[in-house]
Amino acid sequence: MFILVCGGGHVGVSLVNRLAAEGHKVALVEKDKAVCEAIAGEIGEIIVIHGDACEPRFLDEAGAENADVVVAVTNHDEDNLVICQIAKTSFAVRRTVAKVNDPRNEYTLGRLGVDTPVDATTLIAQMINQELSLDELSTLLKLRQGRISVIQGTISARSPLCNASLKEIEMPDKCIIASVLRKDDILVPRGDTTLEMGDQLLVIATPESEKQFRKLLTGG
Amino acid sequence: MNIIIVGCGRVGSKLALLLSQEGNNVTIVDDNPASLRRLGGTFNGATIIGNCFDLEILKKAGIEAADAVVVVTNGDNTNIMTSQIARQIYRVPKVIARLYDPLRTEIYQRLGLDIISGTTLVASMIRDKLVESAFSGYFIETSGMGIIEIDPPRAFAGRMVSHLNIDNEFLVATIRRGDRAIIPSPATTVEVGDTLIGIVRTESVPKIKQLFAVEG
Repeated sequence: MFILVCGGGHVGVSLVNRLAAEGHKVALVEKDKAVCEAIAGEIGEIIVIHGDACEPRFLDEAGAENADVVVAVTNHDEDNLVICQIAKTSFAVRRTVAKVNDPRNEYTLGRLGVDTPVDATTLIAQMINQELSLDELSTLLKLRQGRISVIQGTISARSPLCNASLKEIEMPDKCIIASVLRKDDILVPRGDTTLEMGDQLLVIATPESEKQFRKLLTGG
Repeated sequence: MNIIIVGCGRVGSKLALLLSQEGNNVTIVDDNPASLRRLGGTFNGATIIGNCFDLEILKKAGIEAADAVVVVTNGDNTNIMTSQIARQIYRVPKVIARLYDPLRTEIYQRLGLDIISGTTLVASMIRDKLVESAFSGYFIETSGMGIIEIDPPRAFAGRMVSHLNIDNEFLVATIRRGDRAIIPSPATTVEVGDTLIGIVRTESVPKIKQLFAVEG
């Protein structure tokens, strides 16, 4: 794939490093000349363009018309929006991803045509919250504007699910147990898998089924 | 009319004062409290301090009931984002944005935004005043039509306007004579010292300039 990344901050640099290591063709557009030079010296196999990605000529120079994906990860949401919109309308790029710096802008960017707005702040907050959480159930990831979540639940001794096999459990609609983490093992669950105390479940659920699953897990 | 102005710079503050003096219900939004000082003591509309594309702030400014939104912050991308929010999310009937970058102006005009960009206009006006002192053009950047000001040479005195107009290319719309302005009839004659203000098709500009230069 050819991926065009706009914005050479921490996220942008880390992203181009990964993508280049995975063998993708990568181009980076960055406003700051010193940052450009540093990146070009460090990561040899990527195209670095010094310029403002909100100006079509720099996207053009970076080869936007051949890009499979354009990723906008500057620190300004309005810039990320404009980069994605110009990529789509002037260069017919099929897929655009934007970093959302202020969570309040996630909805707006999605409504105004960014294919995937990634709300970095909320993701980090959720991860930290999850680390702090003493709850038996916590949200790892919300996708599609919160319409679907990946949640993690822990089987406690008092959970009605402790020692139950999956085929005995009446799972709510639109909710599945995707994986069971038991000590160092990762189990892909089957009907005859029996849940044990301390098991961690990775569950995919909608907001409604998440509530039902919580009741099921805690007996509450 | 309920009008929201986003950006209290020189243009925004001036516009807010004008529109509120005319009896409109004006709310102005800016993220910098110091900018609101430009309004002076006579502004009788509402002011809101906050991020110019935050939906909550815009709602507080009354965007759901706004008849018009004007976006004139000094950031092009902010103006693009805010005007699209007004148009696409809140369906405000009239949304106007000011941009500096001519290229972005072109792109977003094609996408249907109503944009005013002074950059090309001012640049071409200054260029005309410098290079050809007898002409200055004010070009409306999209429709292929412009307004041109001409100081005709003395030899044009006595000519009738109907002889200067060219069908579907150039029309003398106003004559500035001293401190008066005249809307000419076809029989009005040009006097020494008149300035002609005409409507011109962009592609006919060289022809018009040549006409007034050569014959003069």
